[in-house]
Amino acid sequence: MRILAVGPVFDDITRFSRLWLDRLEGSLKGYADITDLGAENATRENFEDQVRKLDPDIVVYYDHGSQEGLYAQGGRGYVLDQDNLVLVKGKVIYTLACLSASKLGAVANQVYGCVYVGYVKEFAFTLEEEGLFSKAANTGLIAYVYAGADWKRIKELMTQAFNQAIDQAKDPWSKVWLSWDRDNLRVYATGVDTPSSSCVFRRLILRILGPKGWLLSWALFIGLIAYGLGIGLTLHDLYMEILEGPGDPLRIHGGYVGLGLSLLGVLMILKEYIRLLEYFKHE
Amino acid sequence: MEKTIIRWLENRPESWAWFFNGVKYSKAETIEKFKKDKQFRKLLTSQVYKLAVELFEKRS
Repeated sequence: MRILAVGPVFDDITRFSRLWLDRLEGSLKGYADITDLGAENATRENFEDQVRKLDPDIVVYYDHGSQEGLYAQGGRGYVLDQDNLVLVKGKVIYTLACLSASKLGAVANQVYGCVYVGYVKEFAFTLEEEGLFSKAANTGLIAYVYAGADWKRIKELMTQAFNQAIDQAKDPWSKVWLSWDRDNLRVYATGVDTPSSSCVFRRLILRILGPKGWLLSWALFIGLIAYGLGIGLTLHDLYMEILEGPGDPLRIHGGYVGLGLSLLGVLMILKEYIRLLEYFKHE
Repeated sequence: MEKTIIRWLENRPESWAWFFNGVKYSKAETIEKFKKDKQFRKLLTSQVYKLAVELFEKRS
């Protein structure tokens, strides 16, 4: 089993996530072939190169994340986001990055067939009892590598590990945030968790397009609205000019605003179109 | 409940810290966040309730 581990280090929190990743790698030593990208080399380019070169079964990422992606070294851009998800198609992605399961994980699972283990909200931990959080968060991958791919059982084991940690924690603050992390853990795999959205529009799109609805972004939606509004404003201005005769070309016309808006809309739609083309190219 | 949480936080040592959403919070910063950030206050108190119910159910 080949694992590509990614753990940038650039602030207080990432020093802990790096420590947790080191502990995880220590537990897996001898059970898996682990390639660690190293903190300084955790850039998008290096990540993509290593994925192509190693073709890992599992990508482990321990660091900051957002709904859109997993951050690269220094917090500059992402090592993994929707634009390069195709590279990890069908693989296991295991992360403790904040929020990433809410969007990136959903797309990874629903569109690219990945198993995604992550958190739908912010990941929290306390300084004094960080070991309890680390142990619970690492449990899933250790169970997967040691015992095989029963993701339903792995989710149960992770939940049990968090429950045990809640019992062992001395600090009530630790207990609260352990329960928070446990509640926000998602294992997107067949028969375990299925991604869902609280956004009405997203739910509507998913109903119409099925899982591919996860590919569409807000940028496309806003681009379409800007384009529609722009065209409407331009046509209205043109109509008024015909009715009332040409006005002063130097004053700000609705038509100018409309043309600007529709141009902005076209650019946004084009950007999304190129992104979607990338997906369909690999389909 | 909110007063209890603030009292508990005030009794923490100065070295006490925790991490949430990529940010490190000290004792003073946590108290300030709890007092000023309504969304965070709501999130924390609801999680405390949820855990309390869970612990009672487990013990029974």
